[in-house]
Amino acid sequence: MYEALNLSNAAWALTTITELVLFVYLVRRKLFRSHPVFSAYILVAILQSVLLVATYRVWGSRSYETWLIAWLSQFVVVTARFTAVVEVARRILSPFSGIWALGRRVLLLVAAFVLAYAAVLTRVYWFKLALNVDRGVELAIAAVIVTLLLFARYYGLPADNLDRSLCIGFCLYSCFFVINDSLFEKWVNAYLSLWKFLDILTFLASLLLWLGAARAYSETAPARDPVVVPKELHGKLSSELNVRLRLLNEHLNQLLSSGGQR
Amino acid sequence: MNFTIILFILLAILLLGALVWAIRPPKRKLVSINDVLTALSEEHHYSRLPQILQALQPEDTAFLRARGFAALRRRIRSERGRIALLYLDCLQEEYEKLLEASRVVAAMAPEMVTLDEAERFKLNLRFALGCRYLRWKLRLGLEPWSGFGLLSEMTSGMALRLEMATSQIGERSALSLAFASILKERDGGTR
Repeated sequence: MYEALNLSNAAWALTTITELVLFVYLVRRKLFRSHPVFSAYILVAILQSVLLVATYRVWGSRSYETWLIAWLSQFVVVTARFTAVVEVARRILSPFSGIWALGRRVLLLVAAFVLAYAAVLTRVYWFKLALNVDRGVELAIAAVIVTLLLFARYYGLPADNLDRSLCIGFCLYSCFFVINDSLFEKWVNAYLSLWKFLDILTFLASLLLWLGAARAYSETAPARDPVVVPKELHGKLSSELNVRLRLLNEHLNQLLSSGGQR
Repeated sequence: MNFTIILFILLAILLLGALVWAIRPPKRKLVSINDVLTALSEEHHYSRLPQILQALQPEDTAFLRARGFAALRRRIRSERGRIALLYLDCLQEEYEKLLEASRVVAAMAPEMVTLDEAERFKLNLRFALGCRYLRWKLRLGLEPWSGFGLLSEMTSGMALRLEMATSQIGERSALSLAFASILKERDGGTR
């Protein structure tokens, strides 16, 4: 038990150091200008670590005060994380106004749907409200990132390495958090120290990923000046393409019905 | 372990799988605006459909069996099935090209019509499933290819639709000009 705690503390310390290094990189490379919310999120995560250390020292690790402060600070961190994800989505999609207009609605719908779904699934466990809300939000973050990446892939949108790494890091952490949370719910006490350790380890992996991307970030990022055509012209092209696609579908239907008639 | 927990874990694993799939480098080559216009102005495979449908008609080769050339009939049917598969390849290729063109156009849109995108998605799904189904059917040589009494009706229906499409596609030259001027303007601005 003590070994696990020591290991967990060492991982925690290592995570905080990595957060600090990443924050220094973000400041030194002036990435806080292009990624202000992400930079703020890292700062909030550092402050949470400091606050939790102080809380543990004053009230111990099993007091009500510690529990309250831990979850409240977690709420702030998760909100900052969600906002940082929105920032990445905006950076990838917003240069393409049409796709951004559609994409933000789709992402919002996905987030709302996943949150509602998580709430419905866990409605009988209100005594673990904080844990359930946290898990629901993390699941929503992961779903939004995957939808965003699928959207970008479908439309062939360029994304620089830093934004891609941020997406991967956020999604990996959120998914592991959901798995971890679900297991933790089942074996609350027996699993506590391992849960903390795995949580820190996953976050550390994400931090290292972001740190690598921030270090390798180049100012000569891919050009983000897409051609924009007038609305009417786009409408005509879009409907023409749909007519052509519909025609090809008709062709296929004819072939299908020819093969199906006996 | 209860069902809710299993569901959450499965969802997270599913999302991890989707993440891995989404970050793979894209296989398809991104097309330019010129490729979009080329895709819209290329010769289509529409005109060959009646012949393909005719070739798949069992009555077309029925006389061979009646005259005792069953083996020859089988060979011809399998050859025609192969040709139909090649036609299907061309149809799919054309479809994918148009779909790619629609993505390029979407990336240039100031505002997107959700219904257009949703219809495209629906069409894509239908086409992909139908194409796979038909391909397997042709490969397995499922016979008889009957029921072609509707052939002429279908073809005339197609001709009507083609006419409708052609009238819309007739605006292409105007669109090309508009596109060219936008590109020219943009090039002039960036230099």
